Amino acid sequence: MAQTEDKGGDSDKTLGRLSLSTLLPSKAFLSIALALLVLGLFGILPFVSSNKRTWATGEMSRAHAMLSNNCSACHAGDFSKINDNACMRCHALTKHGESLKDPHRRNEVFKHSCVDCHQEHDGSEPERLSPRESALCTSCHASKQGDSSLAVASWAAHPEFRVALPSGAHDFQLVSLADKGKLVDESHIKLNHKLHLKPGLRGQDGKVNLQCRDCHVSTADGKVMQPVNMEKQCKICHGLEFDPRLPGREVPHGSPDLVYKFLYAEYSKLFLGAEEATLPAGFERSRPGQESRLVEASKNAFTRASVEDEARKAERELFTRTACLLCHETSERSESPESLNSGQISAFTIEKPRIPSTWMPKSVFSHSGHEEVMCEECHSGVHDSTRSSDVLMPEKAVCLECHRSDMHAGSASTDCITCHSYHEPQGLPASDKRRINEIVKELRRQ
Amino acid sequence: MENFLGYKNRRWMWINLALVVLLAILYLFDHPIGGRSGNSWLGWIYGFLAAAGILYLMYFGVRKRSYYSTSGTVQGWLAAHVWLGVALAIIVPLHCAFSFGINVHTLAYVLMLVVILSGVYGAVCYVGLAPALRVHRGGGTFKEILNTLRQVEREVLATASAGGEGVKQLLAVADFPFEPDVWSCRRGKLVPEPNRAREAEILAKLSEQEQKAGLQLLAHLAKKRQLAIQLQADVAAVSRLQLWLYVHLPVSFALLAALATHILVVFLYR
Repeated sequence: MAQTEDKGGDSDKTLGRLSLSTLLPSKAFLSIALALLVLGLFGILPFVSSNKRTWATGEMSRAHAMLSNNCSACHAGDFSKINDNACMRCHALTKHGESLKDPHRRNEVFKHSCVDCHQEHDGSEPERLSPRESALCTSCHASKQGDSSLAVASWAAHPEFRVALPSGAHDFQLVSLADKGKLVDESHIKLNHKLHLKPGLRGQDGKVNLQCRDCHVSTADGKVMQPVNMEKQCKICHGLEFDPRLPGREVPHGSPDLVYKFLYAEYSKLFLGAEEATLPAGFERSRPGQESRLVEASKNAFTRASVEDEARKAERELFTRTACLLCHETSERSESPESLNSGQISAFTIEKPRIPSTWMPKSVFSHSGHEEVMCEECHSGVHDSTRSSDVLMPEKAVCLECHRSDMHAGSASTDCITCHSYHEPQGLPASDKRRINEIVKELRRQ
Repeated sequence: MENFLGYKNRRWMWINLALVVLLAILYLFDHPIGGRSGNSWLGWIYGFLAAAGILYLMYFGVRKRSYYSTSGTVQGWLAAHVWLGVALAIIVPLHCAFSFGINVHTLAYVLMLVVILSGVYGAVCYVGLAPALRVHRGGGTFKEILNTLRQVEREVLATASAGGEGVKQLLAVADFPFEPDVWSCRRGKLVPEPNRAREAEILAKLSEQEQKAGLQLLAHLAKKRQLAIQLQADVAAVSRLQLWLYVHLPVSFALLAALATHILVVFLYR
């Protein structure tokens, strides 16, 4: 009997070994243990330690890579979201700083914070920190926003470009390239492109064939054209000589008063103070029926009035027939010759030129990306333009030749930010620049 | 053959397939600002669906024990459980736009995959093994088989001790120890191949009287062998039906912990 009981006990023991529930910890225990393990390692441990990398959804962008191990540089504390102050701690000191204070970024309508567009810890594209999608712009700009903005739902629906034309004494007005009636460049400068592009023009050293780039020189970064400069470009051919008897002597390219004062000084020097030997050819000869001026000068017969008379004659020639009038709109003052002379001021005025330096101020265009293209492909009509009032800026249709979304291959981009920039980079004043070790120290401190 | 996976004409398979196809199409047509991610509108919807799905799947553990519940049959719930689980393996990558890393967020997905794969393994085991097991066991439980086997062992010993030296010699050659546990049963080879030649050799040398006892002994041992093989196979089969749950269930709770951390971190830092 005892033997049977033993056998039965042994049998139960064997039976137990045939069941997983007696060989393994219970599933409930394992479940709780494993859940606590995960919670501890990935929930509690990062919370109590400074290393929270397992919480990050992705790598930092390349621009912020140096902050990868420095959570508190941006996060004020555990679970703290990024506010703009955290960004501005560094970015107020970079070239974006000033533009971030732009009213457009912080006005009543636009109240987004930096992180609404710039999302970190998105490892998928470490090279950039903000989306390029046009939808980011069109989500607001599909309808008109503010006075100067247009409703633009897409590149296809983009209205004709607007150029900034002088309006009034100081302002510029945006005029659509489609608005041909208003499209008059009142820059008060006379220039005939057609004439200047004619082959075989008389240049400084014989005949020249002018190219666009002879006058239109791009900035060092190749993006935009520098303003045409009289001293550098025009003067090579268009000298400012004022008296054929004084070859090589030129009036300065300055205000009419400056020109007159220069002329007055030149003739004074010539007739009153000059030694005989230094007098240029022409002044030595006496004209038939007249005594030599030199003789008169030597007799001290020249009066101040004679000098003024010569200067006024030269001035009139410059302002009404030759050098100045070639490019400028000049007009004569109504004052009497006596008051002009007593004040040593010019008898003429020049309409102040107002050449647009930025034709399309709402966009960012770079010539350097378009170097292959002939100038006249975009600035069409330049060969037939005889008046400077002609606006020779490219219309949207020209851009559409390449920048179109319906092309299968080789299509240039049509995103808003291809032409429009969001934060205009601005140079940091020299007074705000710092030493490298100061910047590094500040980054480490954060 | 109808099994739980094909419940009501594979209703749950088609429902989940349709769901996945619909979500995948939406994914392809969605181009959110900043690129697809869990942080887009659609990403949020996928995330909500996945989290709700995980909670629903885990509720199955409660439902299958609610014997008085009238909300569908357990078979129907199981079919839905399996197919929704498989669907989640695809919905979650759509949620995160296939962006994975070494972090708690991807950990949640990896744990979920472990749960899903162990579950699929379990489902395959049930579909393949359970019907075979019913036939195999002939209705006997482990305890019944084991009791019968021990009874046979006692008869073997009784026969051997009643017999002479020759029978004891036969016992030494033909008997085998049988102390099974789950692991040895799974490995098999608990029951050695009988050495028929040696048995016959010993039998031949015995007297007629002893030969009778010897043959009886061998008959008992054949019965033991048959029971042992049956028990070994049954234990192995049943363990296969149970072992995956030791992965499926604890890892699903680990997943719940990782999921909670994921949701908390993502929402708090958003």
